[in-house]
Amino acid sequence: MSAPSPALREALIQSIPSLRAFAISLCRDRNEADDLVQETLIRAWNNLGDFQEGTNFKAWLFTILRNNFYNSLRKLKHQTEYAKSMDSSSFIEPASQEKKLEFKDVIRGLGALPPDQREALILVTVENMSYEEVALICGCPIGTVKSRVNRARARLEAQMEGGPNTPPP
Amino acid sequence: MSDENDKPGAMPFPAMPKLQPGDPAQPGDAPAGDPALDEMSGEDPGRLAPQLRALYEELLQEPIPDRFIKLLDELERKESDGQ
Repeated sequence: MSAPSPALREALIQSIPSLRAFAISLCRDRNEADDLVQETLIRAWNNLGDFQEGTNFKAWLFTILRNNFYNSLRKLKHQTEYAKSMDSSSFIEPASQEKKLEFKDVIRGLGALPPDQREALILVTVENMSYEEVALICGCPIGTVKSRVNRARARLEAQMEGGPNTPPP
Repeated sequence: MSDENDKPGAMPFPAMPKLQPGDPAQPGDAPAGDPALDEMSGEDPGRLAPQLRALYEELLQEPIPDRFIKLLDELERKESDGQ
């Protein structure tokens, strides 16, 4: 395989902040998230030949990251433990204490979302991805992405308003 | 971080969300017909978006950790050594 072009290297570097943010949404802590990003970069580098020029590079990287994450979960056989742990509010830790307090409700609400709804919401809202791109990354129909995002929003909004009528997941 | 400012032209990063005209309407979507509502029924970030973005902003603004730059350097070196 020929060496990756400087443009590809630059594209990888530019994607790192987004990859870290997405990894933190999936993992429980920042160290684990950075390990996941590292694995993703290695895998992407070694498989750059599989990337089709002209398609969405960032979506390709996110797909690798997500697959890595779920594959290692399968290997560790702790999906159930993972799902339970997501009830905790500690999956994302803003660096500053001030932010932590400011976003307490958002963090708690996000942590309580089912993982599939949370990842869809983060990709659409924070990464500005289209439903089509998210469907590509998560390997599901566009309609499924839409309904996950809608449900995530409804739940989160209801929770943050402190209303008793929190919609079911 | 990098000296070169050349944007990778061949890498289409996701721009603003696009509406998919062919998508079937989902329950909860705004009714079709009104262009303004149509606009909102796509990937409208919703009113939580500013808070969610602000939560992640701090993270997205962090400098890229050295370990990743070193990793890419290492991968590049391995490759130029012909492995």
